[in-house]
Amino acid sequence: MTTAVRAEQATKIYGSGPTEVRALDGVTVAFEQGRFSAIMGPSGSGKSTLLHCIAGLDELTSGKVFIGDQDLGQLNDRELTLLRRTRVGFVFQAFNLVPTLSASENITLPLDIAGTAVDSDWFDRVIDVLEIGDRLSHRPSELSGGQQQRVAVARALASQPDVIFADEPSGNLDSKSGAHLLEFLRLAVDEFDQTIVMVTHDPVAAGYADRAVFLEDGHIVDEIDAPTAEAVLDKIRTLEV
Amino acid sequence: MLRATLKGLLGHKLRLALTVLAIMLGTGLIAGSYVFTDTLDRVFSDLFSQSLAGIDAQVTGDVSEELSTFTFPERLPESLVDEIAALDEVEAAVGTVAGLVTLIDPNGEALGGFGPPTIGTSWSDVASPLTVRDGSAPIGDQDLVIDASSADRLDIEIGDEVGVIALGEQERFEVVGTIGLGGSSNFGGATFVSFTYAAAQQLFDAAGFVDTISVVGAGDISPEALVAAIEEIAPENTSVVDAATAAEEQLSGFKEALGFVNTFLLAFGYVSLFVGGFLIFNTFQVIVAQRTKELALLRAIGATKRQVRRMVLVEAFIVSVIGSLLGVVFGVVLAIGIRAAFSRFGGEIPATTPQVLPRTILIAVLSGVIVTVFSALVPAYRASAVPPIAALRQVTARPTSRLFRIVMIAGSVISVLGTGVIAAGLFLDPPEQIPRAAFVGVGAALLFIGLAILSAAFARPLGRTLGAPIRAAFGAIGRLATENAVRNPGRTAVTSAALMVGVALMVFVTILASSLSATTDKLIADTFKTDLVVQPIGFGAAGLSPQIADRIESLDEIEDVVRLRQGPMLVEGDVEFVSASELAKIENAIDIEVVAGDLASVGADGVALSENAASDLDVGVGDTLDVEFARTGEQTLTVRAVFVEAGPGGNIYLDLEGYRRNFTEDFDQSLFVKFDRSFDSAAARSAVEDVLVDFPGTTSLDQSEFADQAITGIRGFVGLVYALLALALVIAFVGIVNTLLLSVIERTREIGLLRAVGSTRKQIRRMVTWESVIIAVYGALLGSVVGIVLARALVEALDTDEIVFRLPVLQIVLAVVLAMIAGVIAAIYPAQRASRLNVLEAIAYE
Ligand SMILES: Nc1ncnc2c1ncn2[C@@H]1O[C@H](COP(=O)(O)OP(=O)(O)O)[C@@H](O)[C@H]1O
Ligand SMILES: [Mg+2]
Repeated sequence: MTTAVRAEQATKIYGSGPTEVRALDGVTVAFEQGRFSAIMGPSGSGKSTLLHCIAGLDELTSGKVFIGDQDLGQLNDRELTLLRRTRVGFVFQAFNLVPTLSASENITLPLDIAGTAVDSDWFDRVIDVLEIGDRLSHRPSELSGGQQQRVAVARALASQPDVIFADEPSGNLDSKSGAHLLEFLRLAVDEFDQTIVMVTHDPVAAGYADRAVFLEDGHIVDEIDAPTAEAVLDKIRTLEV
Repeated sequence: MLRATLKGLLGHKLRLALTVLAIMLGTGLIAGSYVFTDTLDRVFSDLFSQSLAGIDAQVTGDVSEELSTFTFPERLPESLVDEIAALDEVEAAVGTVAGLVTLIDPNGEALGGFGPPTIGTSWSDVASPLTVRDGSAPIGDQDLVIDASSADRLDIEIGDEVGVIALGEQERFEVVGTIGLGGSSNFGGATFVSFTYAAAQQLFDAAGFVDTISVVGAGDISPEALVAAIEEIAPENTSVVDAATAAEEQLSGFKEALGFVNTFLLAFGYVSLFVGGFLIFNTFQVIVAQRTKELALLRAIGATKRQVRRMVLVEAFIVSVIGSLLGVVFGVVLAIGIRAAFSRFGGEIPATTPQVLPRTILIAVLSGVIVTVFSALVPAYRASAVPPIAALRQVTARPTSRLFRIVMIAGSVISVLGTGVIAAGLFLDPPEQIPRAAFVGVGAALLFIGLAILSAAFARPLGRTLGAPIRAAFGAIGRLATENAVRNPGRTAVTSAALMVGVALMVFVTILASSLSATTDKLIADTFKTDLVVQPIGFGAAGLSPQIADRIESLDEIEDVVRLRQGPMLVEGDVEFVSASELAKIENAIDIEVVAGDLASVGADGVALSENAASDLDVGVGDTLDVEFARTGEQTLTVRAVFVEAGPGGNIYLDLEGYRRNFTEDFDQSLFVKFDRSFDSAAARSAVEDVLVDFPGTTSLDQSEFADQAITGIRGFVGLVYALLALALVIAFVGIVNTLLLSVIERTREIGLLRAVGSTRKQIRRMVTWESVIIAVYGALLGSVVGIVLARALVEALDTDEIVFRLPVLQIVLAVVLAMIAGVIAAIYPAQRASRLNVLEAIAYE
């Protein structure tokens, strides 16, 4: 199986001296293409930091990150921006959408910014799968939280990126909408062969993934293949003890 | 609560920096006006009191105060000097002859150009404040002394020969010395020369007469006793005053003129501050919006609405005091700049320490505080309306459509009210104490506020229309820019309203100026019946020697010359500048249509009035008019003719006979020259010009040159107005920067998101720049429309067919293009800031 994203000895240090925080401490991990991977861990364990660094949003203090064969450390700001635009999709916990644009404009935003034509067949399939076809002309403020997050997923999918990074995508949703959203992410992987890396601290969310890696104090401490919510919970308990 | 306020202030340093700048710029011109005029006042007070040093009393012809600024009184007989000197109470009495002259260099050019006037007087060793600096006093009748500072400036040295023109032909003098006034070598910017008594009398055609008698009292006689003793023997129509009073009287005319300058400058200061008000309003609106959570928390823990409101207002107050004080400092800088600008036109004004009176600081700070606190009122009320619950959940107070309707109705009402107040100021008789200008100013302010409110309704559709080409050209970034520009219509409206005010006033003035130019052009084309006009060059010039007209008239090539003079006269207590001409033949010179009476019959004791003037004064042919002249005092004139067009000469005409009888001045203002048709017109003109060679400082103009000259004058004034409006435009510009910056800060997360999904820094910059351009162009367009409507309305209101309404399309288009460029420049810093945003910090979820 090919690797979509990997980190080698990734270390991220915030601050210096007595206030120094090692958010990531020599993390080596790889995420396979076409799979749904979850990064699990307690709050403050370095999940978001890892996600940001492997997504080209932040720079490592030391170590390397690759998307495909591309070493992100070799890229300048502009090249990183273009990489994010074409090869990466994002779903954040909240505030994913530009409030002045309609849902469909938000979905095609990365393509529009790049000046690339929208593949309308693909667009139709994505909105069909995400069930947001009747919401396309609405502004974000007119959408429910779940709908907003689905629009965000559609946006991430629209440019057919190599990998989608999601940081607690269901974190702000009620459990029903959250479950719905995770099903859609699952669907994106199954239907479109999309690669997704998702950060979550919720065992139920991790249950939708193909694989879960466990982070603690900036270290990878364990991982499970084909996790279920129960398996993840068990693992967390064992890790905590 | 105060601590919370101060914390708030410090927390918004950047946000408030531009507000402080706006207040500083706005109050700067206000303070600058006062500093400038106070400084001049100080300089000239010193000068006038120095000019009377060593003198106890002064005797002149009597003249009413209203006229004293503009004209000379009747001369005194020379014999009076000896009579006064013979009094026991008098130690010495000296007669002085004075007048305006032009100095000519050996090449026949006017020395120092034709700027401010040169004053010439007779020299006296006694009872005179003048002292010799270098060389000697004038002894021979060809000797001349000049003030040391002008000698320096004009590069004149002792031993040089200079020409002097007063009333007659040029006469040549030798510079024998430089003089000073007490300790100072500068005479307030004027050039000052002095000749022997005999030479001065001859130059000013004053044989047997003097203009002023300076008296030194004997022993230690009191000024009152001295004045009384002189009055005893002085003939009627003579004014005898002690030195202190004389200084005060001289100063009062000058102070009045300074008062006009001050009011004129102040008007622009208040316009600037008013424009600043829009910026202040925006800043506080944004700050309050961003602090919703914090304010709600304060409310939740028990702060009353009133305390919250006061917190915002105290913040505004502190900011305004800081801004206004900085404004005073800026005002001093401006005053120095204005002085430098005036010096370029009006000669060297002596440099003194700028006068910053407590009154200046008080007014600057007071106006700054009032405008700021007033502008912060709405935001303060909004702040107090934040419900405590907003602390706990996201309450986005969306303006309801009902509220919007109320606001729009308020905007309409304020606009209509403003228009009404302007109209009242223009057409009704306002109460005595309130000047018309105050009505127009307040009305215009209301109108602009109303329009700013109303323009919120157009911001969205119009902004989107303006953004259409940008969307077409830049796709998603263009769309984002457009939507950002209109997403907060109120903020956009207020930001562009500031620009609207500046542009509207500019367009208004531009249209009036171009209409006035067109009107002048037409008027001159319609009424100009002569071939040539002869005029003095420069605004301070004395006038044309009467010899010029005589000599031109005697030329073979010339059929006729009509002389035109001008001077002040009191008509029913108001100063009017009247024209005087040879009315019997004036129709040869200008087109003037008589509707009643006969111009030829006006004579020495008659007057001709335009229809307007006649109806204003409510008189007709045969009625009498009570007037007052500086030289002859109260007189009664009979209306002998009424004519239609005001023409270039104005509304009131005397015959030349009447002028000679009532005015001391004896020189012409313009000569209308008609060629003899049997001669080639080029030959005729060159014959006239040959005469003028002997009279440097004069020029001849044909019709188009005459029109050009009139229009150049208009242009000069417009340039001055532009310069003064520039400050308001700068503040409007700062307002755009301010809004963009506040918006960028407010949209941090959104910009971060755009960066995360692949917008380059350049695209972010472009987005902010186009947003800025839309706001700027929106303001410029609104301003242009308002300016055009106001100018049109004024022309309609004047209700006369004479005015040609001329729309300077090119200049208005240029204004909009400039606004566009200003938009691009205003966006530089905010765009930079937006593009430098740290993506992670921007999207961090707390
Ligand atoms: N910008 C920052 N500056 C300093 N410390 C940071 C910063 N961002 C994160 N950290 C610290 O790094 C550690 C990991 O943070 P994060 O990756 O956000 O954890 P998680 O997402 O797992 O909750 C935490 O201790 C956090 O306090
Ligand atoms: Mg996190």
